[in-house]
Amino acid sequence: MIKLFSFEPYYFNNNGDQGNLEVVEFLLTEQGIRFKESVTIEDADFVLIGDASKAVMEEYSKQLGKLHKPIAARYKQGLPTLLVGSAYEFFAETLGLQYRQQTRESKFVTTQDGYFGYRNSDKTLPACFVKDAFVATSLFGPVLIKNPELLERIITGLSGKLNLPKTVIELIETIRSQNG
Amino acid sequence: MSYSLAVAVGKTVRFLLRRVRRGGGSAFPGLLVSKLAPDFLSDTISSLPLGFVIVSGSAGKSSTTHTLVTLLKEHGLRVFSNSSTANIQQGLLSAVLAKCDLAGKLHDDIAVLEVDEGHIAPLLELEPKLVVLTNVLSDQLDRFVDPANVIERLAKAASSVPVAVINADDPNLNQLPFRAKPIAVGLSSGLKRSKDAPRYAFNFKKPVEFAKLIEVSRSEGFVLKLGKQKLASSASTAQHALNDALALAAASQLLDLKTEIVSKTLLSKQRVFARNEKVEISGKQVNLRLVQNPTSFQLNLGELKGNEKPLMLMAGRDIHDPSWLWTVDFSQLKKVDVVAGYNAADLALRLHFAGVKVVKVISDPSEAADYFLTLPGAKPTILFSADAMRRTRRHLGLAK
Repeated sequence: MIKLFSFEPYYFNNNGDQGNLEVVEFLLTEQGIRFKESVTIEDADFVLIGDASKAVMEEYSKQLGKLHKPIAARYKQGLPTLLVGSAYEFFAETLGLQYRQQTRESKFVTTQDGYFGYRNSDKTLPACFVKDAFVATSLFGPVLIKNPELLERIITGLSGKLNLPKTVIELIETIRSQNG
Repeated sequence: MSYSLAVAVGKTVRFLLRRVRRGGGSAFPGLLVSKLAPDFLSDTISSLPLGFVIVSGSAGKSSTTHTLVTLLKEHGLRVFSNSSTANIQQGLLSAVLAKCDLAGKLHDDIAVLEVDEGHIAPLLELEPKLVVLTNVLSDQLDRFVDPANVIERLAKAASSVPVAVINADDPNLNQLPFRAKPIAVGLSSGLKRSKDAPRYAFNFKKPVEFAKLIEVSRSEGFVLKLGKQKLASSASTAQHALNDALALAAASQLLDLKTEIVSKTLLSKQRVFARNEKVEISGKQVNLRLVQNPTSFQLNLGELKGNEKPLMLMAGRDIHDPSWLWTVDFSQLKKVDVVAGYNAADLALRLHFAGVKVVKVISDPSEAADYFLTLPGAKPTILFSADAMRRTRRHLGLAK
């Protein structure tokens, strides 16, 4: 049984980041892979911490602070994980990343590594920081489905296979070509 | 000061633009006039005998403005107002230009201006008489980045305008630094606990309690309780009833209200442009619904009965980052006949993973509209974003 953990999904859902969990669950269901919600991060096969507002980050900073160790361990092992936006910034040091402020960038980007998505950040962190199935990103929203390569890392890490239908691949290609 | 030359140029350009592109080019004439006569807007608005009112916030501006304007007009006032698609400065200028005389004068008593929450600051310098604040949502994050930035803008309005009318249920509004104690409206405690209660941008600070001038409750329909009076509203959701309450509270600060006029206005079914509007196209009665953010998308979906056929959803170019479509719960839909607009692929992808069958994806709005009208079905319905709405209306000859 695959265990999925999302940290406070109601609050950490700026820009629809929880849509990534919806995609993962949809694909696991399609493949008949059973899954359930995990209440602890230590137990989880997949971890999602979405982007949140300043007010939410302030309110939950203590609880998030307790997750440094498990996040560091997941990063070290490259386990299926997705950190988005403010969560990425919060754990950046844990991932060994330093950053500084820069002029805000608010637009669709395609990174040198070919990752695509909407970036809205004033930090110098890489838009996508990846180690095996561990992904930290400042690309908001449904980043996994728009980047099948990242989605494959996660789904494979959860004992599944990525086999998207042609219609879905065409939609992704359209989105990427008109905004990339 | 005479603005004859600037107005003549502006009106001519507006006339020519509308001949070339009906319903289009709304902001350009305003931009032109602002270059020719930078003080035109401030002088025109400031010269109105009863001053002007600002309606702002994340959502509900158009409905609130519409009801407030209707209340004032029904009480005999001449009211200038702008449309929801002209709620930033250049659009507002163009709206003034459309209505003023050749000397640049508005022949109205008062203006009620719907103002985008990001463009409120310049109008505060013109000393509005009253500001109505609807809510702060976690919305348009590609523009505002964080609700805190919207709160900061509205705080400037709250602290500088003498009278503020607020939705006191929103903790982001009731904590603003008001110049004077605000006029508060809100839902009854029962409605606040219900699933219909609107959701606001997260705020964990202790809310400030204000005595409510108007409380919205529900029995058979929504009821607005103002003192001893209980006024029925035709609003279909708690959010819309709150908008009615805000408009009524604002009107009560501007004139002596007549109960029969208020009752008639609140029960009127007349809708704001494209808000659940029914129009005849090619012999069919088509239901048009404007969806501009997650809240309005969800509210409109909630109002669908499930028998809408054919159904078309359109996401236009105005949605800069379509990620927010993933915060909308589409699970009540089984099938969408057409998904269209510049961001059609994004919307179709989101619908796929919500388990909704999408029959056809057409990015070109004109092509989509033509195809949609060939489809059978007794209740044709379109939900569209503002850009998709403008393009579709223009193509179908519905542009105003």
